[in-house]
Amino acid sequence: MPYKYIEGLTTADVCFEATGKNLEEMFECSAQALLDIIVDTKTVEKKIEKNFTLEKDNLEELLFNFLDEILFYKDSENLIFNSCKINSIDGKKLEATLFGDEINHEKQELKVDVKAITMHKFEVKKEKDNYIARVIVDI
Amino acid sequence: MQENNRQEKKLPDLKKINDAEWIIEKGYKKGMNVPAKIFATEELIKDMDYSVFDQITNVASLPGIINYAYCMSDAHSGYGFPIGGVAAFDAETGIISPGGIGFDINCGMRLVLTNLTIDQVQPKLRTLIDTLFKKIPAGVGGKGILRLEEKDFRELVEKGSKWCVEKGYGWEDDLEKTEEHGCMEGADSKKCSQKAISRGLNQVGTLGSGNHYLEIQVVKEENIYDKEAAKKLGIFPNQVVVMFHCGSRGFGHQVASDYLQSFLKVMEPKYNLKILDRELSCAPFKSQDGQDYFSAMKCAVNMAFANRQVILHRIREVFSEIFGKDAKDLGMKMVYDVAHNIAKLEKHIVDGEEREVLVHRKGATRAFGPGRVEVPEVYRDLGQPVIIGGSMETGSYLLLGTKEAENMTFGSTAHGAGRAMSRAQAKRQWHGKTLQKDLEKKGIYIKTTSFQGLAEEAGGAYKDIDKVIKSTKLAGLSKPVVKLLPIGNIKG
Repeated sequence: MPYKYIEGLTTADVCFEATGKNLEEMFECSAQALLDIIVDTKTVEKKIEKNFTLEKDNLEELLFNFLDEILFYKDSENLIFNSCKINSIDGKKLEATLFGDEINHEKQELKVDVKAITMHKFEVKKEKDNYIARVIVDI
Repeated sequence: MQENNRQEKKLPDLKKINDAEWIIEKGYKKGMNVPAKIFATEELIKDMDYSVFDQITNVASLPGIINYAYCMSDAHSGYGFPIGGVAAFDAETGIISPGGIGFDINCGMRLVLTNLTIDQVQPKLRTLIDTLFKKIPAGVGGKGILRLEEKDFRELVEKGSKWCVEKGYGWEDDLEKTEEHGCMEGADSKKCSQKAISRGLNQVGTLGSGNHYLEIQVVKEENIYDKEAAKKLGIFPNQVVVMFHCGSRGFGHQVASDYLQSFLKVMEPKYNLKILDRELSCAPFKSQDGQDYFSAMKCAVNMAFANRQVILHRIREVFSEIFGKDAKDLGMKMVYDVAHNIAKLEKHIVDGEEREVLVHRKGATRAFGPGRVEVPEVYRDLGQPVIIGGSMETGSYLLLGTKEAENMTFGSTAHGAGRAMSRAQAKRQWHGKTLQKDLEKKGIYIKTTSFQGLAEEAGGAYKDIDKVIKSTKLAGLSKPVVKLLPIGNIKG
């Protein structure tokens, strides 16, 4: 998946840039980048599905809250995911499914917790044919 | 990387006041209401990245800020405020800013005594660490020591440590030895989103991850700098003590996130507030929005106090199990518990008059001197204990607050060593398992839920704590009492 971690923008935390040919791809890629910070996704089984819908005022807010939703399930239901599928999306509304399992330190290789999605240098833009998101997360 | 950062940007003109104090004048950036003041030796300030100066001068432009925007000796880049940033605002005309408190509201430190010596603990150290690791949830996720119904959680976040002690998870003395007595009055759980409540519900009694830890430490005689103060604080040579560092977990993070976003929406249209950085989103302190956040922030503060209280209870249980004595007979009283991400309404002297101000401390610790009523009676002639945490290799410090800190920084000081290297760089430089083995050879036994996390927390990734303390002492902000060396550690 085309995402990369960017160095130099934060000392204590992690920054990633996710791209996609369309909004579905960019959102799925952002979710993957976030999950790969927290866990080696290859060690997470697809036993549980979480479906959710979000509606926000603009695309930036939508992405912010979409990523935040992953952290919400992690903490409120003790779940970790290995992937995400965007079922439908326009600029302000999406419907998605997260695939994963209950957090289990014996089975999964958990790396580091993400406390929050920040708005520090948070950006969603379209460059030529690609959607690009830049996100810094608080560790 | 940091060198390039400094060369690319136009550095501010740092005016030296003395060996540990520098000023960036108001004229450096358009919109600054006050100058910025950085408490650091020349050595430390040379290594600070440009973002610190950029961020603190943005803070200086916030409405109602009083005197200066301050940076402590361990300052490094944050969101909105730098970490190690302090700013006080007029309670009537000033603002409150979630970025000035941080996502991990009331991330803080707790120090606990024992009457055990290193000779008594060393033979049982591995078992002690292994058992603490088993009994105290750490790392990503983790179900808390307490499983609460929503109504109990709501009560807990309004009562903090008091709730815990009432339910049998601690001693009355613990409340006396906690900042705010473990509870900020005026917390209203209705001001927290359902999302925040749900995130926090199962996390009471969890250590978390990243730079959070629980450490067993030893007092060496040569590291006691103030013998009289050490004695009054219950410290003696060869003593084993316990220090741990954690915060409000998902609950606090969500409260911060919710209000950062909601303030952004109302700042300009409702309050005509313009800021230089959206992570400094804020609202007038006396507005309904401002008061709602303050109330919710207090819930997160109380949750973190309760979190640390429950973890302490579990630590006492484990020590009791391993050493075959009651925790009271093991002398496991607290030294103190301090917050380092918080906003407090405090009385301070401003322009010769006593005023109530809202002090934001982000990665900064309160450091009141002798005589203040907020300092526990048993310590009032000494000053408030200050706990500044170093890396897992270098050790941490117990200090005392000072009158000078009250006069210079609204009673604030540093909180830690401050990161000097990115997580990515640390991961490349150190290998978790090798690091664990190397530390064991040095006499530090570490258990971790994540070897990658361990590598990221290597001592070399942090500033030199001794230099931060020397700078803090030189500035007069705190007086070192003792340096505490690690012998065992559990990390999330």
